[in-house]
Amino acid sequence: MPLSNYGNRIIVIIVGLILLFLPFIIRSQHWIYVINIAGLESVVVIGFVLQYRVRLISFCAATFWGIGAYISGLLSTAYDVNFWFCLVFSGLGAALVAFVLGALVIRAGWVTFLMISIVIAEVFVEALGHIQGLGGWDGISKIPRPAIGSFVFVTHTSYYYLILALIIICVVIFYAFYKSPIGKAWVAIGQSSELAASVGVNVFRYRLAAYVVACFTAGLSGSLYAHYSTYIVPSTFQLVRSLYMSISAVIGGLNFVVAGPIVGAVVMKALPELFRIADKYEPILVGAMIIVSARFFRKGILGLLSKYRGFLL
Amino acid sequence: MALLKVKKASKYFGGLGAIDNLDLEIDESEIRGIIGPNGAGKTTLINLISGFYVPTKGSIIFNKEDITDLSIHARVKKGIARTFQLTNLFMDATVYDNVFLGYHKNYQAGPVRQFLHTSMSKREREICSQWTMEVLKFMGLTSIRDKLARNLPFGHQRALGVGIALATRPTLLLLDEPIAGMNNEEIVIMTELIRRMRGSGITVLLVEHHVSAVMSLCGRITVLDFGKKIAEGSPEEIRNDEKVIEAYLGCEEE
Repeated sequence: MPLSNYGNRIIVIIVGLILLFLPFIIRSQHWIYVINIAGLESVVVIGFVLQYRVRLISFCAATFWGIGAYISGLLSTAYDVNFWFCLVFSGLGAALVAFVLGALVIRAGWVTFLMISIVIAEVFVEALGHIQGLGGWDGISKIPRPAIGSFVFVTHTSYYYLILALIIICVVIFYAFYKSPIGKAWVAIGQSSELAASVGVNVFRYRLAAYVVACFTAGLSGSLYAHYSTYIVPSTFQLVRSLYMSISAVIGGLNFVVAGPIVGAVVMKALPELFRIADKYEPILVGAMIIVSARFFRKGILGLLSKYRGFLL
Repeated sequence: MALLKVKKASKYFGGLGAIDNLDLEIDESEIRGIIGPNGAGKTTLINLISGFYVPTKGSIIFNKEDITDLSIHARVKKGIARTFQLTNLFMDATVYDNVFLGYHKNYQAGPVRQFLHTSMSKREREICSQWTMEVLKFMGLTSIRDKLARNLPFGHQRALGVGIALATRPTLLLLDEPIAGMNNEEIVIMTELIRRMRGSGITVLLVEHHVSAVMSLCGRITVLDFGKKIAEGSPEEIRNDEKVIEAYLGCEEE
């Protein structure tokens, strides 16, 4: 959104202040926890929207989140690796898997890509469950807390700021990409891959790059998630979680590369909490949200609020 | 000097020979017309030269270099640009952004510099900006630069398509029926633009159905029918060639 606009600047400042003091505005620990999880998920969803931009749809967003979480969990519990190194390795590990997968499958077309992603999502959970060395169905527990010097992150509030920092870093990274010729090439590919090729864009390479970047940040988020909840199980990263993340993207607004995912993720997490829905009824609520969204605000919540298409930034 | 050589190129789809054993040579700075009845293989020829199709047999030489195995984007980097028969634009972007994106192959700064927004990268985007304005002025699109491509009238969309191809700063420009569907006024404007392009040193391959435009613009014309070359020569020669007349009009009734 054009920051030269005075009105927009005010909005950004107000939103910034709210975000800065949110834990003190919302006093409930439970709600800060909800916001934290939404924040972690929103990083993954930002990656999902990037993939969507280059016409890659996959349902293994939560899988890469899980790859990051498991790399971090295993390294820190089995090998005593410091959190900050775990964080980096998680990102790189997820990026590596994405690179290999993408290199093999992207050229096969979006349908194959989508099918394979579903297979990967299922296989990931099953493999983790059956391999005792990776924790089996009971997962990995007693994952150590991150620390800076003598300060250890324990309270929900402290994690809020850590997660906020991660989101800000990711937003900066994504903006740096989107505002560069790389980002413009990505948008071009999404609009018309033929035309993009005919202006010299190596469509395959740029698609692969988008996939790797998206999965790298998902891995980072996964790592932080593992150390936040200190306990991860395979079933957290199942296919349905990826589907929910995809839905968050749509509800937030697919045209808004950063704000959309954040708003979408928060709404997806907050609404079930607000209605105090029991776990077993949650899918009904989500289904209702999808229907309402498709009927009343096709372009997502942000699409309703802002006529700005947020498209080429 | 031959800029482009198509050597014994064939493109078969199953048993169907869209292009059959075609030899073609295009010299620098000429405007070559390619005409022929529907299904003659004109668009297939453009697809072969630009890299959208790989020839079943034969080779393509550009600037003395064999480009037969090069991908589409690699050929664009060598200086070959094309337009599309069916309007192909970045629909949700403005006219300005469409042309701006066309400059893409010309960036010297690599992805790392672009990501870091170094001063080299910023300078190149400035150059891109200036070049975009020049192309817009050339195509006469300056006044509508902020309109979304989706909302443009047909004639402007076609012009924008040509503008995007021009933005890549090509040596060889392949135009696929640029004036199809245009009214007379638009045709006059477009023909004049193509003439001026040749003046800036661009070699043009013009595939067109509109025979009179081809006759007035092109120095030489190649005629295709059923994927084969049936005639080649000056507009005068083509106009009087028996085989050409037969291909378009069928046999003379006895």
